[in-house]
Amino acid sequence: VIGEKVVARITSRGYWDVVVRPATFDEERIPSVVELDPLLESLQVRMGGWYFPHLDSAQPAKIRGDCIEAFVEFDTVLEFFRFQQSGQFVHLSAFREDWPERAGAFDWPRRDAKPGDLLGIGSMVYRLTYVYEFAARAAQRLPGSDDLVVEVVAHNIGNRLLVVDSPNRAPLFEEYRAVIPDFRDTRQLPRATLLSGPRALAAEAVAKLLVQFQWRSVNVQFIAGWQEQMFPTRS
Amino acid sequence: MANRRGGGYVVLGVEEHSDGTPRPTGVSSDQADSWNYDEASASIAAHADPFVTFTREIHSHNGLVFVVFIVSEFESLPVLCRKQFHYPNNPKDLILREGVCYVRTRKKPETTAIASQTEMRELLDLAIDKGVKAFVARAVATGVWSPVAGIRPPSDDDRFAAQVSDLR
Repeated sequence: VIGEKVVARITSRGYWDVVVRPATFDEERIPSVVELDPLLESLQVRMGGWYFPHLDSAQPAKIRGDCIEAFVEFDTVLEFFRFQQSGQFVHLSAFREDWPERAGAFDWPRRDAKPGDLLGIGSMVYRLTYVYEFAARAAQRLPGSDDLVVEVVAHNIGNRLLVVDSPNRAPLFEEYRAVIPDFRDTRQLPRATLLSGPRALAAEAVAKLLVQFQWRSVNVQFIAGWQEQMFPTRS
Repeated sequence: MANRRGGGYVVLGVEEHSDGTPRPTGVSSDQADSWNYDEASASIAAHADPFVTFTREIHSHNGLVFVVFIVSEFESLPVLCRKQFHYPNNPKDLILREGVCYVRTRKKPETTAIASQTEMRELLDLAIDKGVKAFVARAVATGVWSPVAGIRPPSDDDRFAAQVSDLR
């Protein structure tokens, strides 16, 4: 693994583990490994903030066998991705909340929290919206017409407190905590479904995750509001 | 021979030189006729438990006639001696002892009772192999286990997962 130390760092605390891939396995769906860089660039989502995935022209992804891999470490951003000729894309990213000692100018100011204490609603909305927008682009550009599988795992969420990580929103009045250690949401979706409503799919996934924090009354409209605030759609 | 992997051959019509090397002498046509399958089978069955499976063939070589018994390895259980046998002319000379498991030794071409753990292990391994085969055949026949399911090719999910197993 390129950036093995970064992967070890990411997985040592809470982190997102994302897979976007075709439903059927074809080892050479993308015939040449050198086609992966331009293809991934065309899939990159740029809606504001930190793009997904982060691509650095100064430090391009490394070719390793039938895949490309890259990692980044910038303040609380710890990320790694692998993109394979099979069309499988794997993205690991640390919960930024878990790295207060690395917090910089761009980070949400809860530096008093300890690793494993918190998870922000904004972090969830941000990550999952980006993931499903990425999957929608993959649905359009990955060779083939089969379904795509989107898998999101939030690792090490047990006993975390849900927090509002936006200065523009009121704090929560109740205490919401997760019990399960890991949240896993795997969905196999037709490409047309992904293309027609990635944000709604992301909102559903966020709602599922929030329910695991005991937020029984959460609804997708609430999450859609967060999405609109974070990533305003052009009217 | 029946207690040996692959069975073996018993050739009638071979004597030994004084140094132990084989000397083909053949058998007479009367002797060959006397070793017919039915009589040999009845005689062997009387001394073998559970039974010995074999075929009998007549072969000629350099003008000599030989009777060849092709003995199959035991079917499911090693063969024991059912009844003792003496030389007809010398009742005190015991050739087969009742209840003994005879095997071919590794030291020299002879048949003896099991005398070492090596011979015992070989015989047990052979019996175990047969027992396992019989068990699998029965499990498949009764639907308890399917060899097709047992060796199914990896699924798409398996193959994708294998590509990222080092990250998990």
